[in-house]
Amino acid sequence: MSTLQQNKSEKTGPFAVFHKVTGKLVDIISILSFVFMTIFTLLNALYRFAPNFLPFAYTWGEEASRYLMIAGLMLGISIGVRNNSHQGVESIVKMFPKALQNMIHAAANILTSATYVVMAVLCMQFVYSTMYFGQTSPSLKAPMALIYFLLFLGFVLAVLENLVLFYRIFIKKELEATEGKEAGVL
Amino acid sequence: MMSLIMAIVFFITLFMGMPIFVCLLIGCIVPFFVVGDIPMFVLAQRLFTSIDSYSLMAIPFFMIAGSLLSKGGVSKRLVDLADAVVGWLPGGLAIVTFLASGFFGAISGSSVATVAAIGSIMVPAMLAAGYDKYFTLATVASAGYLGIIVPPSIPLVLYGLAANTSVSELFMGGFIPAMMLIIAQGIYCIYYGKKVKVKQTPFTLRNTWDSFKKSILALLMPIIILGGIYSGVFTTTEAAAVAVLYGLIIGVFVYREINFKTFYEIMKDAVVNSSVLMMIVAGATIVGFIMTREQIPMMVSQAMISISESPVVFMFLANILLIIFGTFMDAAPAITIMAPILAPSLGPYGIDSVAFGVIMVVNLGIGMITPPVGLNLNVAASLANEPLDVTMNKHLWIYMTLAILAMIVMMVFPQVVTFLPNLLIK
Repeated sequence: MSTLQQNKSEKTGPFAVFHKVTGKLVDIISILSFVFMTIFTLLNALYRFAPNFLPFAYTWGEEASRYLMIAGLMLGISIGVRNNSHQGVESIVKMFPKALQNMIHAAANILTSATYVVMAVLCMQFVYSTMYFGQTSPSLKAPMALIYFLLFLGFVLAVLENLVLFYRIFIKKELEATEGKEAGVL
Repeated sequence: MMSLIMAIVFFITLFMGMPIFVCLLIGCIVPFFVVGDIPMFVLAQRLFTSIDSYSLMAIPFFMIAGSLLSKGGVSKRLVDLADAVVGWLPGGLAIVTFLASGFFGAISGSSVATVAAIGSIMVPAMLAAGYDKYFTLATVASAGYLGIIVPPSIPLVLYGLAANTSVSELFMGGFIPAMMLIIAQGIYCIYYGKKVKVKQTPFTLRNTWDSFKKSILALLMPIIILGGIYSGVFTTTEAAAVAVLYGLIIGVFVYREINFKTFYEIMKDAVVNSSVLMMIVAGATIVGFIMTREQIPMMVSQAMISISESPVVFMFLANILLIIFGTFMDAAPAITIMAPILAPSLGPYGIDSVAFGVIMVVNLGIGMITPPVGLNLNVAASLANEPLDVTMNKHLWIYMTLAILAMIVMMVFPQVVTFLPNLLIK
């Protein structure tokens, strides 16, 4: 098989398609979470001054917007991993020779994946412990296990994206280990 | 014991270049696993409770609002206004950079966003007007940190939550320090302008009035946010959400620079940036839980008092510690980690929590232009396609010295910070 055909089969392979589709879904759901979070918060402010503005009692807005933020943030972890934009301190690693830098970055990536896996397991334990008691949220009456499941989902997606990132950096060598990290938050 | 293991694991992984929030998480997982007297799923529970906060929602909102305005054409209009007001002075464009960054900071609350938004306009303009690239990049990078000092400010929100201090008072406390910094840096710009004799914009009342009219909608934004908060109409979070709506209306219907594609990109950036920041907050909260359990903040407080009972000495020691921390860490993680450790010491020393919070943010703002990390330097260098070294020059050191001097004035005379909150809120 030629290199071109190989690349083509990689780009249209089942995992690549799955990765692309889940990536797009995660993007859209997280953006929608933030959009509705904004709408619910604005309605909250409006409802305080005009309680008759809505034809129903709007008591669940604050809670819904908080959970939507959590959904957006947890899904956002995996988007951040995909863009390699989770900030790290690179100044010490840069002092070492290039070969050693690569080894440290590879070890760091594996440790990061391991941390996401441990967090996913702990979050699942937390979900199970909540399911046992059948706890629901105060206003929405939504099962809390479902809300806590967002934490698990966030870390599982982060593991997947981190493995893809490892493949792109260290196997395919498509991008540098520090690429994207320059973009800061504040 | 847990704190010691946590510190060792945290610093090893941090210096390996791992994401900061992962360093914080792994720093908590290992001692939980080794000591084993608390169920490990408490980590997941703590992570959830730390981000399940209505007040913290202000942060994603400020991020979205800042992006909407910077991509919606507001930064250009703010620069035009600043140019009309101070562009006639020697070194006028450099002062414009500081003033426009101050205006923009009153909208965005982010340092890097301010450098990117104002710098993308000012770097080409200053270079074309004859300013050398070293001075230009140092100016743009230094002006950027006004973004986190001028209210509303994301780091001040974080400090308020971490140290249990009123965010409204912190916002009000940021005004005078920001003006002090603009004036101090502006004086150096005038000195440079007189020495190098660069192009100046002639002052006309008509031009100033026209620029004011064009930027009035942008200038209304901080009035809506801060006016809404201080009049009691909105909470900080609601005010931030109103800022998003206002930014969207201006960008889509008035300036017509935001379409569906731009909006999608803005929201995606906001999701990622908020997630990066809030995960650091979550990790730092779990670290705080372990440290509180082992009474570390109390030990730090006692150790500080054993060194000196003078509040000024405490301020100096704390700020030296923060400067060291700020040289290799961004303002947000540094605040979320350090504020819970240092805040309990403020009471015994009789230091105002608002004054300390603002000084802390100024200090960590200086960290944004301090090598080796200094995110503002990276952004400024990338705006001019120059290597990072170009930003690290004598002008940068002068700006840093002036900022440190201003900070020392705030430490010795905290009334500089507390005057406005005491006058208008308390």
